[in-house]
Amino acid sequence: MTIMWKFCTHPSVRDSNGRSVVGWVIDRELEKNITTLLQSNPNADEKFLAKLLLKNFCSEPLVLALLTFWGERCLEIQTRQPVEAQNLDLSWFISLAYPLLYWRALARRHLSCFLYRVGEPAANEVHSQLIKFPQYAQLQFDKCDVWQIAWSIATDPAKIFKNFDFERPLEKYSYGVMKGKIKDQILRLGMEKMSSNWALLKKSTQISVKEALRHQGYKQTKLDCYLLAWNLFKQIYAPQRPTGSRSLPAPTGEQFDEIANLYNQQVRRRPQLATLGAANRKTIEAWLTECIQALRNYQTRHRVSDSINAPSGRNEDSAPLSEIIFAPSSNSQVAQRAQLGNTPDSEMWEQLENQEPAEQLKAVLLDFLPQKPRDTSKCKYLLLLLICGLDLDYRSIAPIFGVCHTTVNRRYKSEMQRLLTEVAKWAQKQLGVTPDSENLERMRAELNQFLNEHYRELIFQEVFQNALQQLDQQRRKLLHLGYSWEMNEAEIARELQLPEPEVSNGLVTGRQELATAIAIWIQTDFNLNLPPELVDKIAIKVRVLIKNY
Amino acid sequence: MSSILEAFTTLYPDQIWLEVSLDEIKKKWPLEQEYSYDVARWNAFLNRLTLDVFLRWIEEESGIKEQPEVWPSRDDLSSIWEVVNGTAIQLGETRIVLIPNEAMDTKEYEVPAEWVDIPSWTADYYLAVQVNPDDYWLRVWGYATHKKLKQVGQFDRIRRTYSLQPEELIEDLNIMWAARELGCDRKATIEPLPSLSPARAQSLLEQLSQKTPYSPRLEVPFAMWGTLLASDEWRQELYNRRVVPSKKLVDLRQWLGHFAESGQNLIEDGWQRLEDIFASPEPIAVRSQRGAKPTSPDAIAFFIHLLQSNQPEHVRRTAFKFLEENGAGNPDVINFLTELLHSAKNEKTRWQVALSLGKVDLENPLSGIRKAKLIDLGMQLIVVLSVTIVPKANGRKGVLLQVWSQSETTLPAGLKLSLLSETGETRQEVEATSDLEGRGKGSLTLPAFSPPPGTRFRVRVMRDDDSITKDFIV
Repeated sequence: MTIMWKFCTHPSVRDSNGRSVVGWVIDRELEKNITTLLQSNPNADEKFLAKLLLKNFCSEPLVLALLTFWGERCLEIQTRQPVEAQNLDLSWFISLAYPLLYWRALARRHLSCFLYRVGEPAANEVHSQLIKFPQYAQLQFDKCDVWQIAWSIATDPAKIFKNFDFERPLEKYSYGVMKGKIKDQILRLGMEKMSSNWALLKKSTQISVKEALRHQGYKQTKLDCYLLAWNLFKQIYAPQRPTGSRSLPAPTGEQFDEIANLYNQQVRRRPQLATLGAANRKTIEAWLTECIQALRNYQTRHRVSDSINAPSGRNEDSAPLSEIIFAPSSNSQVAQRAQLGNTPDSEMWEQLENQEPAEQLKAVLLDFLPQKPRDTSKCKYLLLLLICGLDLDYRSIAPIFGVCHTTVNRRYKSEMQRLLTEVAKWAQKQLGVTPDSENLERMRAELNQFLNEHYRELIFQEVFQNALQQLDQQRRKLLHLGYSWEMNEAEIARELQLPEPEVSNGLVTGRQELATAIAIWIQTDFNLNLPPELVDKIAIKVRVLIKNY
Repeated sequence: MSSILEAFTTLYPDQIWLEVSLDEIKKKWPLEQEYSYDVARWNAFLNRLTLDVFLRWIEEESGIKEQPEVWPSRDDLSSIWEVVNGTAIQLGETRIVLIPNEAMDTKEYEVPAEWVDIPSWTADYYLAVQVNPDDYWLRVWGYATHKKLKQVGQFDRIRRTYSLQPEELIEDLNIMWAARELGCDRKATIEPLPSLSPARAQSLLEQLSQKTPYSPRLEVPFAMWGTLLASDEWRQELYNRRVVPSKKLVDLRQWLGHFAESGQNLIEDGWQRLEDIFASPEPIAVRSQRGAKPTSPDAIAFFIHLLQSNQPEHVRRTAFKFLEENGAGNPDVINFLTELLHSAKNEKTRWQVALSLGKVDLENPLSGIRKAKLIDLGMQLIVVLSVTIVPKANGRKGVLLQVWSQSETTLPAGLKLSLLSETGETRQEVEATSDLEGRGKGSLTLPAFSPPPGTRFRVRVMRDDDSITKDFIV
């Protein structure tokens, strides 16, 4: 069931007592495909399936390209004419290529489903960061909007998995990339909506313009004209000075003429542009205006909710929205997840995919870590504990050290750099790994993972486990369902048959008590006074500790 | 840090977000005449802003101990920004190129081929900088190595750029610093560029200096373009030709050139020999107070001997002074000074020798040229600005700037002599002071400098609100 949930469902947003909640709709065609795969591979688990889908999806372009090339050469030899001059029955060829194309399309859809699943928590995390800054209009998006952005990104898994290293944990990798892309999109949308049309055109990248034009349905030849015109616009048009207003005027008539002249010159001069016709001032202005319109339309594409909420694709037999999976009357979420051995599936996924650092490296890292000294004012130990163990930001913890947050940032980065360098030297000496930028980036990811696990484990052993046991059973259950199983309050209420306000209250007070226990431990052990607002932040971060419990 | 930057730092903790003030934005805007077309001016603005803000971050925040240097030099930047985006800095042995971009999205990172395929321009690391002057911030959102750009980057033949996707960059600069410390990042191998004959270079310069509203970088094949750009002299020449001069330049090359041909000091636009201004063979600052008297060969030999031995500075100064005052036209003195000019390792000594040689042998080509001009600052204050140029072994010219009092023995307090870049940034400055009894110096001297051929600079003499600025090209 978890495999189906991960690879065969689409999100569906609905209103629940005035709040938007996400349900999942199964795509029957995808379900059938996975069932067929599992029948021929009974021992296949999620990891196996994910790799199979990725390998097929990622390698397809080469296979298809080879097949196409081979097919065209065969036809040329047979007919002694170029393929373009023929009007042949290519059914035999299509019959060969079609299964590959179909399989690729299916793999793509499966991977999109996987990314929809990953996209929801990624979007939630980004949204929780954005709402801390309500004063900035350009960063304010509803949770629904952020979900839509995430799911819009998920429809193109090629962009997520383009450089995927199969040795890396899939879900963690996807989560990180999705989060980054969601943030980039939000930042961009915020700036775009405040920019005038010509500023938007001037400040777009070629990729954005190309995507927007393709989204508009423009074919390659037209695309080439427009992109060339846009490139030349960029070469010739610039603000006369910084305006501070995100607004730029249209180019002057003279500038349009210059662009047109240069366009025609380029077309004459370069063989690869020979197919493009000439242009004049009016043409250039029209093309650039169309580029602007395409960019504006492309901005709002993620708001078309129907394409996401409803399963899409051909020959599809999807379940209607009323059959949302995990309906409470029949199959409780807990019961279904219990089929996996009483562990949250995301955690199990992590355990499947997670490649823990070698024991030897762990021992080495422990030696490199700062030890708990008596003087806490410059305590790197405390710094790492708070940032890696509790995921607190620099601004929150700066008052503890009596410095500004940029100093905290600097100290943290300095310490991370030191640790990374030590790890790199060890890896070079013991494993023969060259510590160039690429390898260091991988090592850094492992180092981050180790530090997070190490300091969370420390907090867990020193204080958290006891504090959790001190809570009453009901609150322990609430916290477990809410943060380990990622159920929302409505779902928990249904599961435990409790009123929602009681669920909400239990979660809040449970978190607060755990946070207070951690805060007291830090204050006692390190002889510090923690400001109340920091305790509140720890309460929010307690979720992560519970999830990893 | 402003709150919006705090928001961004929260969202992107691994990236560097830097604030820019309105004042900085105003100051970084180039003058109209500094670049020949709008996009170059805008690029220069973005690059200048990026460079200064990033250098400030390196010095104040990064924890890096080494002093960063602009490559090749600040004076060369205009000639680069006139034609291509990007700025290089040198941090010890490491070269880092900053590529600023005002694009609102970071879907691609684009590096002009000049920074990747010109052998002397290649860098170890290329930083992606997003600049948003409207919202007063810029951010460094990742970096790539030369190898990554060459091996993974998509080359656009039309735009002549290498592009990477954002996931191909490394976001955390900590990794770059660690990699730099460990020294294992290697550049990709690139082909050397072909050489250009001077005639061909001149022909290209003629073609590319035609005024266009866009960069000429795509007008000729890259091999030729790259070779042209890699030469400091040709690049500067291209810049000089493209940027319309709006002010009269004093061409120091003509001073030396004319002197080398004719052995005569060319007098033009009020520039004449310092000695003629003071109507004496010796400038006031070094006039002997004892008066002239015949000098014995033994005395000459004695002071030559002093300069040949390792004497304290004040003794050497006295010896030079004696030879200047008493050795005019003396072959022994001239020969000795000429040999010393070749053999002296100390820069200060070479200047001194060149100046002394100029006093004892006015027509000696090795002595360089010193010319001066009267500067009227108003309020009955007239001073003498002198410029001495000396040929150097590396093909450059040494330049020494001085101001002398014309009628008084000391310069008035508050008088300033400044060396400015072509764009008006102060590079060096000295100010005349006086003690409680009103005693001061009779001259001001700026430290000597040796700019690349074709460099333009400005010299300003100022007191209170009155100033005179002269523009030079060397």
